Amino acid sequence: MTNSDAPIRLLDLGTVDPLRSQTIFHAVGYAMREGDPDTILLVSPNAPYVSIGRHQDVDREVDRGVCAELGFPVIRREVGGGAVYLDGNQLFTQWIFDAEHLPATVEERFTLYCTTLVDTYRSLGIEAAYRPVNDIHVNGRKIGGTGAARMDRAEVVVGSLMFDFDVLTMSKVLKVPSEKFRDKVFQTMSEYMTTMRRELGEPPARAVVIDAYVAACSAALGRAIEPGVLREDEVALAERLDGRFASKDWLEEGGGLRRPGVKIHEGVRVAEGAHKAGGGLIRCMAVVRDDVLEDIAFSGDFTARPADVPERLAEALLGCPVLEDAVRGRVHAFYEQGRPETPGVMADDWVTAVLQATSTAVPA
Amino acid sequence: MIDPGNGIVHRGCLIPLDLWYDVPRDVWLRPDGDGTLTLGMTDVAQTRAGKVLHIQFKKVGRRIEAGQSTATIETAKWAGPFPTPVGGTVLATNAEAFAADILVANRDPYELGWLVRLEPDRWDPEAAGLVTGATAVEQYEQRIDALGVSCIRCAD
Repeated sequence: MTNSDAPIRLLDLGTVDPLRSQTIFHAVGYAMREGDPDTILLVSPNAPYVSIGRHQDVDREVDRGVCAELGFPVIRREVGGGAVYLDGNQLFTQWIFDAEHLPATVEERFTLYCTTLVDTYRSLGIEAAYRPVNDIHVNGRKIGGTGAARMDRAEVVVGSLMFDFDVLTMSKVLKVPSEKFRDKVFQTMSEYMTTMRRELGEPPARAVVIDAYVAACSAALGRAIEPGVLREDEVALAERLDGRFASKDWLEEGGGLRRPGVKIHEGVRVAEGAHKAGGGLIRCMAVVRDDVLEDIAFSGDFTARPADVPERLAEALLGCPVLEDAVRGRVHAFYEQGRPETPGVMADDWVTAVLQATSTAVPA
Repeated sequence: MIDPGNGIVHRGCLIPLDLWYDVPRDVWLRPDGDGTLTLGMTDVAQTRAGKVLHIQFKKVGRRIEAGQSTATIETAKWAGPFPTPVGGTVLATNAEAFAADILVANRDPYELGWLVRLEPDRWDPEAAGLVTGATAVEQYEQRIDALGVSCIRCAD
């Protein structure tokens, strides 16, 4: 890492339309020339929208019908990660730095970047803590999300300060296997996400948050931060990118990065899988927290006597580590104790269904 | 431990002596003897990016200007281009190897984990700012020290 003593340019753009809230940081990144200042860009969208990750398949991840009904644009970004609902209750905090002015590895960049968000929240009275690699938690609940990308000579790190978050709308715009799964995503997000409003009752004023954030950045980076303005070439490039980012081709560009399940935060995910047993299909939906089954439910067209076998088996699996031997041990113990009748469905079929649902790691 | 073979290891980062490098871009190039070039991520590049999650190659037959991207890479926490230091036409991609093992460049960046083969518009490595041999080692050691990076290969 080479240090730079030059002041960082602060661009506070207030609110802009959804498309520009994405294209502007790409434009500043791609327009960066040698010697240009590093930039911290603050912006909020003036209307809700959905953003998808660089390599996601839009039709697999987002319910475009719901988005159209609600009037939400869906915009692909060049930053990785998952689909996310964004609105004016989030202040995007985008770093566009010469690559030589940030730590070399992604992990180190996130440590630095997340530290500034943590320090901001703490100065506002919220007990935030950094959870590597790129999460910020308040008492086990995630607050905001972060991502990183390279744009020519710029390394870009993006994230947000969360004034409030509409969990219900987020759960509506995602493409999920069933409404039951959607309910589970909603419940899990409600439980494991937080915001300034949730923590403080009323979020602080935007100006107060920005002052705290700029102070935190200046301290963490050891550099002066000075208000600046967009250059003409950056605005011109953003206008060009508006066209590309709004195009059908860009949105529908061949994805392929499948993200099974929904990651709520680094340690919590909602997942679903199915296994075809001789006696019928077993569907399994699970909430996995730190690789332990926190919630699990079975459904399908199998026969079970007594009828509450799926519920009781699910109960027996709560708290079980997501490891084949541990799951097998619990299922076999359940069968030995309760002697349930499940024609064509063996104990190991349940094990397979659980592993099918839970063993796939959900990427960032 | 990495077997250095025909190369040196600095802070865990392998630098083969027989390749050409664009040191600032962390790209290696190997002339294949038939006028074509094979390109890949260096050990430093795969370490800095992290475990690859997805890679999307430019189509075979596509002409790419020097400095432009021949593929976009998404790792668990980062997305970015794989730029070519020399202009040329994409002859082949290593899509098959990445489809079989998405971590192939994280495990073996210089052999199995190559990214693209190019037919260069012209091959004038010095003019393209590329270095090889002892010069490459010297420049890469300086870069590795400046970045403070230590290379890590995927074990699983």
